[in-house]
Amino acid sequence: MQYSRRRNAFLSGSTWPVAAGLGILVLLFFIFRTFAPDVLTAIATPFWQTGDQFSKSAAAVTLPFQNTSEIIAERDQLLIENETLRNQNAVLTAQVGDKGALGNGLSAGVLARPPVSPYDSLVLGLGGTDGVRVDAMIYAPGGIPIGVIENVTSNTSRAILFTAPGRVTEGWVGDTRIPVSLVGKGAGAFEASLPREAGATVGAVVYAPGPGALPVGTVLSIDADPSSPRSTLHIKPMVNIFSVTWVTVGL
Amino acid sequence: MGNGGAMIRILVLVAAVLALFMFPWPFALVLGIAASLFLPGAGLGLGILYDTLYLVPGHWPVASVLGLVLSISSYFVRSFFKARIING
Repeated sequence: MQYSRRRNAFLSGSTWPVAAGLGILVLLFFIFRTFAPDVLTAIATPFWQTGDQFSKSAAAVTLPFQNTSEIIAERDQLLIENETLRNQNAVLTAQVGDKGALGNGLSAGVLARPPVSPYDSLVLGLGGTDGVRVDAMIYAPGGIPIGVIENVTSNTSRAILFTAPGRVTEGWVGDTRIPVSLVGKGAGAFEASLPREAGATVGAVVYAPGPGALPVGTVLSIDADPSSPRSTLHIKPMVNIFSVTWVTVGL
Repeated sequence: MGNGGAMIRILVLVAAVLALFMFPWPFALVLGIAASLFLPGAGLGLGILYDTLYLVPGHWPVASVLGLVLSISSYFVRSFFKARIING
């Protein structure tokens, strides 16, 4: 007599332990994320720090072999410095009459940033014990607002950037401060929609609310479809989120 | 697969896990695909770990979904190759 065993197409005898292991893994991650986020970040922090150091070391090792790249990198650095100075100037200009509005913040090192994290989020090396609280604004060097704290553990915190896909931030465009909704497009970019007659121009500064109006980007291009009453503004951020190494957390 | 093969599996899996913390996400994705070919469940596990570390409210858990798709795909790819080897 022959017996035949019913074969499950998805789970054979040897894959059951793997499936059970994965189930346990899912459960563990859920528990970590929900009830004990401190444990997970405590485990992850040394790896993030190592990764950060690894990136810096790799850049230092390859630099002597890149003559052309070296010059380009230096030029890029100067451009960033120039942009930072311009931003600082714009911030100071915007804050005239609102002296000391930014106040004292906490300087926090960035443990993980895009493109390591794909959701336009930053993992910061300061947490609840250092005074970081949820919904606090974070500023890039130059006082440029780039996001808000979304989650805090004892020693680390996670911030969501204004450029996260779908995130809407109210702001203004141009010297006349035309109100606009800035929609995050991911990878550090914004988009906004305005009536065509609003008069936004390429190169106009885009502001976000903070202590006063703080510049966050400039209009890179404007898509104006003749059949549409509105035009779409593509906004270039003032901060390269891929190279942010530290931020200031507002108190 | 002998000890060497087992060692490669472990190394790829460890590299894929470390890549989540250290390297840009496309690199982590490539290593995740490689790890999934050795161990189908790795894709889902890595995706969940990724979302546990980086997911922020308002986003779909893209990494977990991608990991699930990767795991299912690699399971069928492995089954296909096994069947081809057995049948000659």
